[in-house]
Amino acid sequence: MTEQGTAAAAAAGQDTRPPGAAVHRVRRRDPVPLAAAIGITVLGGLILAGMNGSYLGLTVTTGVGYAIVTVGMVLQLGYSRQLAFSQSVFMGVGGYGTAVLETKYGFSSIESLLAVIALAAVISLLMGAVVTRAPGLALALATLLLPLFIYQLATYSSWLGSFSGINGVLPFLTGPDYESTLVRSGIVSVLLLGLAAGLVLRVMRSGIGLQLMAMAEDERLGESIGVSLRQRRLEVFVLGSVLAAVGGAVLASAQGLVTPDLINESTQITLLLMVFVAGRKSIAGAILGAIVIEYLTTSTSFISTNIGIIEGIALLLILLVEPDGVAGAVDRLLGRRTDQWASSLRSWSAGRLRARGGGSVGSGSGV
Amino acid sequence: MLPPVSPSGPAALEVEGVSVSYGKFVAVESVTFSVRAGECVAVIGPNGHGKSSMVTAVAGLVRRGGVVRVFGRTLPVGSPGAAVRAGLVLVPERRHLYPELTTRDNIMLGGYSRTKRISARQAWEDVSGGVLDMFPELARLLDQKAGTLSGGQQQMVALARAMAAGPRVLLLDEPCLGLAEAVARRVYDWLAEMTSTDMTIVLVEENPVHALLVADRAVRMYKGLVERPEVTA
Amino acid sequence: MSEFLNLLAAGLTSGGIYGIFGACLAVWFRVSNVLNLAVGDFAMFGAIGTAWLVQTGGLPFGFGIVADLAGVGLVAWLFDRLVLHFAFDRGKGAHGIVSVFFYTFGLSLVLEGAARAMFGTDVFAAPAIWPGAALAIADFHVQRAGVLVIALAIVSGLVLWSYLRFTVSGRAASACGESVLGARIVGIDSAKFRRRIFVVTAVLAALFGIVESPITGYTYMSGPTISLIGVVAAGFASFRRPGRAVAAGLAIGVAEAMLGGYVSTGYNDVLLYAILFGIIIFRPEVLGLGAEPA
Repeated sequence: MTEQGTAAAAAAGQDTRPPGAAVHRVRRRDPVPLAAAIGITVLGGLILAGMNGSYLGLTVTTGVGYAIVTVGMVLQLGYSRQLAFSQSVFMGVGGYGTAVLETKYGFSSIESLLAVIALAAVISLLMGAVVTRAPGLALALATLLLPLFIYQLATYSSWLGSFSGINGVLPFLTGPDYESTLVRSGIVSVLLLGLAAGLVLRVMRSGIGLQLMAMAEDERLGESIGVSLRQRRLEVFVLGSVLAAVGGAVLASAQGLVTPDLINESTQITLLLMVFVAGRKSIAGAILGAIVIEYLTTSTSFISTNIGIIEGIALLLILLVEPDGVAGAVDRLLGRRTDQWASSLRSWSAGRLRARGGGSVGSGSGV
Repeated sequence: MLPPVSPSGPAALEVEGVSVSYGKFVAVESVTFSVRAGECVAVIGPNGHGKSSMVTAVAGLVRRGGVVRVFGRTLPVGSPGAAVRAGLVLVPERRHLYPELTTRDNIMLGGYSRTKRISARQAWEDVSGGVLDMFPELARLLDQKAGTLSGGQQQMVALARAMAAGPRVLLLDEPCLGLAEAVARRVYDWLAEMTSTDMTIVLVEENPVHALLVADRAVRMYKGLVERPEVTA
Repeated sequence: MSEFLNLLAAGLTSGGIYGIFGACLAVWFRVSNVLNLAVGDFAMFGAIGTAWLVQTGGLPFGFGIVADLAGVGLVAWLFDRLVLHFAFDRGKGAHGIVSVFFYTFGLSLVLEGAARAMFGTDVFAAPAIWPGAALAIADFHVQRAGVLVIALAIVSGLVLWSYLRFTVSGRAASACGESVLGARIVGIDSAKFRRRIFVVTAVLAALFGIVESPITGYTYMSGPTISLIGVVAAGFASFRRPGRAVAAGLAIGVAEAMLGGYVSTGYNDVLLYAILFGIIIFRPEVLGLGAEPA
């Protein structure tokens, strides 16, 4: 609907909201993204401060790094159904980029972060312009190959530290001792996560978000409502890739080093699992999933040795039972409550209308 | 309820209390009718009132309640294979051919449940004679992939595939949907020919005028129920 | 010249594996519209399982092979019955492009984890079926196992191709992948075809693992890389044609060997993957996936 059309319809008293079951009003001042960003930063900051630089705090911080990536994947995978398996590669761009810039060129941590964001944006733009041309299955296949050859590249390159990687990555903020350094850097990481979540939420809750959903459902449908498919695909790809790079930078700075393990398939697999099990359409799910799974993989030895089987079975269960992941299950449970509440509200108001002598608010029969 | 089955011909198809639900949505509430051997019955009524669901369920493709009998043999629920083996064959709405397979293979597979052949070529030879007699225009399309055919040609192939299954009761769901006038006429010519044989036909048609051209009688469905059991042409 | 022939032989051997995995993937995708990402893991279980049964379990070689293949077949059958049946026959679970990859991906994770738990992280090789030193004609060497692999790949490819092309059953199997409803209307039991072909291709992959493992050892993590190349080989066959998949696999194997021999041993895989990546992205038509409009 055009602006004039919308205004005219609104004047006539019609519902001017865009079609679709989800309510995606094009609001200028939608408070949710900002609230989420602030909420995440504050909450995360408090938690990390509480952990005071312990090993648990480090685990949470690496989890936060993964969470930044999975938040981007919610947009790519969950919302737009763009099956691209390139996130671990861009984590590598972020991690290795940070390491190289800091250790070999003396960049500070903030400078390298900004540089890495720019680098990821440029690479993903170039790559994306080409890669998103390909139909869905081809994109998936091609990006499946990507970690394989980037990994080989990294392990054979001595400039990139070969198998041992690069040491000496700077933390985001330093403090007087190890613990407070960890806490301060952790807070910066959480801030980045908050920004990432806010950004993705802003996109999802805008008119663009609706277009992405339409595109995901049926590409022809998307075209018919005037979506420029290639442009949207490119935008989603770039955003997802940049977020992955930021996540990689966070990981590198938290651990102080970067190794080729960051770019190999198992990282990509872990990411996919975090997104699927926790809920690929839910930001909260992605964040929690990343942190929880990261915690589990590094905690008890039973889980970390058998992580493969557990992840596999979890994935299969999720796919069969609740494709929208744990977050979807929670939504459904909550939704049922709100449904009951809504229907009792409806019947109450129908009763009031009837009592006033108005027409019945019946639902049509038949299809 | 229903008029009793005429003693002069055994009931080719008996549908008793058939119901179909998709989750909470009841598409077909309860349908009961019977068709004598050699009859052609049209199922008419507005779209969305359960005609397709009923016929699909009778053919065993969808879970249903109620009983379906073909020449006295009760059909198990949800088994299209059993229906085909009993002689009940459905030509579905929108055809559902195999686009990457050739016309020849599409038709040959119609006879899948009856053939004991291992070789595809022999299975084709078993059915080709009868089918090409009925649809000579398909002879030059045999090597073409079904997905490349026009809508009308595809409908012919769908009919040929059904005939290759050797049916005694033929269910047709909107056979002229989306077809040009000339092609629809061809389909109805063929139907008219079939009615003069001992084939039993149940024809789902949205347009009652077309249907009553070939049908002996009509059954009207409205909101998942059979409205009036008898409407004679 | 002899170096060329040796590289060719090595390339054809690894190519035979890629090719047959590609064929297994292509045939099953044609029937079920699902990619079996666990095909390499079935091969891994073939190799390691047999090695373990024979070396640790003390079974005679023949028994070991049969027991292992039966075990693989059973696992495949169970996976179909417990997972795919619910996903596809009962209409529950995730659908669309997700289902193409992620069900078998989950299976692959479970298989790898199970292998690690059962066999540890060691390298295994099943005993050679045709033992002996490499065959030599002048300067040209080829491993005996390699000959077996190439021969078996060609024969299996031919068998799969003939099945699909000439038999009623093969046509019916193809129909299952083309139109689920269309297949059911004529009485084809798509679930049964999907299950049977899944089991057959799993056992075939396991057999190849057994035959090939004397050349390269297998660890619990060997599966995914070969699965991936198999997927690419199947891709070049439009995910439908086993004969073409075998040919594509052989070509990839030879390319890999040639790159290693003539260009660079370290970076040959990098180049290979980069080339494949390029082809998929720039020429998706080669995979039978048309480039998109807009």
